[in-house]
Amino acid sequence: MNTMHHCRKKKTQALPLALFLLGLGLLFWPGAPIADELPTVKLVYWRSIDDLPLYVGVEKGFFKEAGVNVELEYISGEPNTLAAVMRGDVAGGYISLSSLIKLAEEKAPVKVVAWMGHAHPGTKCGIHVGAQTKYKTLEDLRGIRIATSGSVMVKTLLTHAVHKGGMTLKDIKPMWGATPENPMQHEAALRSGGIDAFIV
Amino acid sequence: MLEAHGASRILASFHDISADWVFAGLYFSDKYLKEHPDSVRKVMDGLVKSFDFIAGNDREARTFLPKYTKVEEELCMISALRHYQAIEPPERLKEQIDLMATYGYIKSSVDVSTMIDYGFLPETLRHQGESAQEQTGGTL
Repeated sequence: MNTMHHCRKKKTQALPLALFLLGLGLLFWPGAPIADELPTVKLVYWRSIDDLPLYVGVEKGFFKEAGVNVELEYISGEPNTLAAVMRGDVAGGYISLSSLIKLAEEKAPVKVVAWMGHAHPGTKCGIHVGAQTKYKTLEDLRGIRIATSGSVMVKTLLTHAVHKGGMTLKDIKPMWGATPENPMQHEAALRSGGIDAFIV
Repeated sequence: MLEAHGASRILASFHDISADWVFAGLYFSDKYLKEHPDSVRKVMDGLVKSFDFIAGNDREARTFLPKYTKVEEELCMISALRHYQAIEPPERLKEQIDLMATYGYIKSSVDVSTMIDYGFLPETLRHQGESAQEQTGGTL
């Protein structure tokens, strides 16, 4: 009984102290940190649909909820992005696996901390042909004029595609270096008859 | 996206050519990781929330695309999105590297494990990654 009374008394004494400390806390720490007070992390984006997680993180406030203010900065291409990261102009960016391999060979001081997605059965990236053309399967690609960026990733996929179709690259006509800024330019080339297909 | 205009159709997707093709990773310099580990962890927390949000709220997520990509909203709503997954199976990465080496686009099958650090991801995901590596005996 005595002990219980003692406890109650301690609680009664503790309450005003707790309220005082809370008030003091509110005075000197005005609520949750606002965005300007959060550390800012600049990440490169490529204006691509594939950057969606970054857009969602910013727009839905997921980064701020986590305690960081992410700013997205557009820089074109992997080499420019890498240069900006190494200079410290930005904190991070994207890199393809093929480019990461090159960096591994050079022992570059960077690390991939998360992957940004993979293809799936509904993927629309791939070999595109004219809608009304005769090409139906990989075996039909023989002799085809195909526009391609020539990146290691695309070269690998194209070579593997023709391999699956029973051919080698010598059996098709790749047009390397086709990297239009706008994907619609692929479509224009297809419509004009300048190419039979493109891989993107 | 382009087939929506009726000019082209897809003959074989990247997935048809090589299943679950991993496109790119988000990277930081070693210097930045060393100097700002807490910020990177927070970015990863937010990123993983974004992955989950996209998986469960595809339509709402797509509404943010026109602002950043300048692609027409109509196309943004029907374009194929990637499957987002922070940690990819090491055997998948190795298959891709082996393909690049087989066709002569890289010198040899390079070990990129030293270039990957999942230690900034939320702990639950990290353990998934560790178990995947242990199961396959991979080094990635």
